[in-house]
Amino acid sequence: MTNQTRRNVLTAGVIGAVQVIVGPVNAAVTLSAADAKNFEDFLALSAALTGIQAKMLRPDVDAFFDVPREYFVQARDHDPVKFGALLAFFVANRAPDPSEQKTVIQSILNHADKQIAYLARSILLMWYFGQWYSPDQLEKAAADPNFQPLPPVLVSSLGYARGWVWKIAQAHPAGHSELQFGYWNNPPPASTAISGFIIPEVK
Amino acid sequence: MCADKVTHKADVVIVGAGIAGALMAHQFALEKKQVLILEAGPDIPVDWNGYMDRFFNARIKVPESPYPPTMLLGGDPRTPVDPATLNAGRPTSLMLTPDSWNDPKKSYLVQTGKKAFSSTYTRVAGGSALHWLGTSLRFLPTDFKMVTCYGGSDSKLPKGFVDWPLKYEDLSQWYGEAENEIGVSADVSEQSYLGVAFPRGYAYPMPGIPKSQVDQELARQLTGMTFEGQPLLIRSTPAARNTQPYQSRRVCAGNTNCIPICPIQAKYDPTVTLNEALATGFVRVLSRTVASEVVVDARGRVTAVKYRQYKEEQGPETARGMVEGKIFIVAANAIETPRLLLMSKNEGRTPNGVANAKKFVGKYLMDHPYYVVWGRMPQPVWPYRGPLITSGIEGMRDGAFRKRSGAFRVDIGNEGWTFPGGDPYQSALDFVTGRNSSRANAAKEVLFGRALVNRLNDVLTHQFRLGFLIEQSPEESNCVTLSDKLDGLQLPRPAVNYDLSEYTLAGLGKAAKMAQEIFRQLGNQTPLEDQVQGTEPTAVTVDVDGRQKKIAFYGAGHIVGTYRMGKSASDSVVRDDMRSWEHENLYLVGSGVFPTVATANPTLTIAALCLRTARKILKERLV
Repeated sequence: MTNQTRRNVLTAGVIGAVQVIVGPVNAAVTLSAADAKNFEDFLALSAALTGIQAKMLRPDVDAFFDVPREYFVQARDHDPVKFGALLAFFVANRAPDPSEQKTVIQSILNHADKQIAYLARSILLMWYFGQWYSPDQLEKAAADPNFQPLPPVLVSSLGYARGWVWKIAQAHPAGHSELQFGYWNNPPPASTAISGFIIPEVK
Repeated sequence: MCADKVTHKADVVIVGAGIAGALMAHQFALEKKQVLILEAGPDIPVDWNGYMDRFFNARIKVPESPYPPTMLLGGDPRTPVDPATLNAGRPTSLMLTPDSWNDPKKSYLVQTGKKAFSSTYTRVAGGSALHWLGTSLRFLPTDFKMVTCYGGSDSKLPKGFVDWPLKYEDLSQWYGEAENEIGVSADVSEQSYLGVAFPRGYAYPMPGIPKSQVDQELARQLTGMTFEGQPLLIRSTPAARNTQPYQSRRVCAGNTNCIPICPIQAKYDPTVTLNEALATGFVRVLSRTVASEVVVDARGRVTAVKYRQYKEEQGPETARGMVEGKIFIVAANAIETPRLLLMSKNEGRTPNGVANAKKFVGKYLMDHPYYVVWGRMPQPVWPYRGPLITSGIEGMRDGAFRKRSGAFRVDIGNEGWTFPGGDPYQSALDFVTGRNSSRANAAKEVLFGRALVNRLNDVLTHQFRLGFLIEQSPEESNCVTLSDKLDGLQLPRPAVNYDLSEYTLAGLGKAAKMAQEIFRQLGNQTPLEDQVQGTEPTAVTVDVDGRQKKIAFYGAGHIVGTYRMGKSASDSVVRDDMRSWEHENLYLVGSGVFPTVATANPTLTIAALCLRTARKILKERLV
């Protein structure tokens, strides 16, 4: 069929209006010395939230280099006070082993301060999609099954292209394939298995 | 305002730079005829990236999203643009919600019927086929003779059905030409069914598109299954999508984005033909130029088309004028073409509009009402990979049952649950907020970390969906007329009256029955999901094996029927060559001429008819 009228894509996000971004997109992001420490904590928190190994979230190579910093700036600038509180709570309560953060994350997601609890969720989804669902939209969605959150806002187009949700699906973002003709005829190769990037269980 | 000045003259004047206009303009230009195209929207962008950027920046990725005009003020879904302010407005998917579909401040189409006409289109150079899927099916031989085959005393065929004034054999050669013109990938052996025959030695320009994992797993699961005596075969869908480099365009790389836009133009779109036509030097496009009246003289001859121009999509009108020609072709789609004809009153000389003395223009509007079901396959099928659709189930496109209910075809989606709910977003949101909108999170868990990755991988890799396109019966009351609401150029917007007949509902019921049987075959672990909107404009109640079921329908984007072709002037608007019965130098082309919609997506048949008519005009009218 030709033209699908995807009414229900109203609730799906896709890439959002660039004009709403905090700060320039894709410009080099430099952090102050104080923020540099916070950035490392932010990565550890992000790994625990997303289930993706920290070194995969922040590879040392290629143009993706700036995206984690852009994500840091997005989360921090959304609400610097709550962001600081979230990081402080994580740092104070995290387990020594990066693979064993279930308890602290559980506490964060159930935090009495809803703004902290939902800021964490916004951060998780940002890594998955490259787009920002604001915490208050997520909080409304959790409270009301009929509430349609606003489509999310683009944080980084490179972040979209490297969005983790598509890797979790062993696929690629819609509109962005780096593969060759006919690849879809076969199952995804073993190299796309989630074991390649998921935080391993420690027995 | 003073009388409109003649600003341009050409051998052929075409209204609309969509696929019909582009193909015909190209044919005329190849024979060195001067062609002028009036296009309501902006010109072809210099660089395809212009549309890709619009796409990436759109907050809501509906089919229209890469293409102007703006749908949302500031990109915010809470502030849709009022269609009265747009100079070249159009219906969009955003205008089909329960609170917008019949609100003229939100909906470009003024909907007056019981049900929402749910298909949309785009008014820019290239037209709606910019955001088509690419499906290029031929009509079946019986599609052209529904009354001959399925009429009779024991038949429940609605009286709007007629035979086409053409047979499949008349179009076979032109289907081949169209397939070569736009570049269709398929294999003759797989496409020879239900009477579709090809000339000996015919081959599609490119081999068929490889089947997806979804197709293959579904074929395995449905092995040996029949529906009403028909085996359920998974058949590759012929498509205008390159499996080899073609016309200097690249091979499909499976961007999974055909609708709304292929990033690499491996999918054919009419800008390809428009650019070829422009390169001849014999075609000129006047963009941002909206035809406002077809001018007819006292003898019934078309002498000119009047137009209004603008520079900015919500800005003031900037110029008026008219263009003269020998031959006039209106190719503005099956809603905008009747709109133009009905607007053309010629100071009272054509009080019902042009080509409309018998008052058929605008009537018999049809679509393919589209029923979507989805679920979780027992085995992983890895969707979100490959073209959006690669295969279908075609067995119910024909049969004796058409005496009583609409035929249908089935398409198999490779994009998981994107269509029904906006996955992967919806499922991810569900597991992060503890909701169950996607129905994959029945326990309303909140997950994170490893557990979330594992769960989402499991959910996403098993998703599939099916869509059922039903042949809608031609009904006189389903029609396009002029509303009293205006657009930005002060021209009346189209009004649409739409409903689904018993015959069409019976077809939907049969489709719903097939869906149930397929899911029964897939097993208890695979419950059938379909969305009941619960709201009247897009919900219907159908009979599924004696039980009433409420289902939602969508539009397929197949807008058809409003200036039908026929054997005589007493019951049709145009002849089989798409020439108006009343005005001998006026042609009305596109899917508006189809007397019936059958089950094939219309574009290939539009192309075949246009190439046939262009050749005829060149041979007989423009020597």
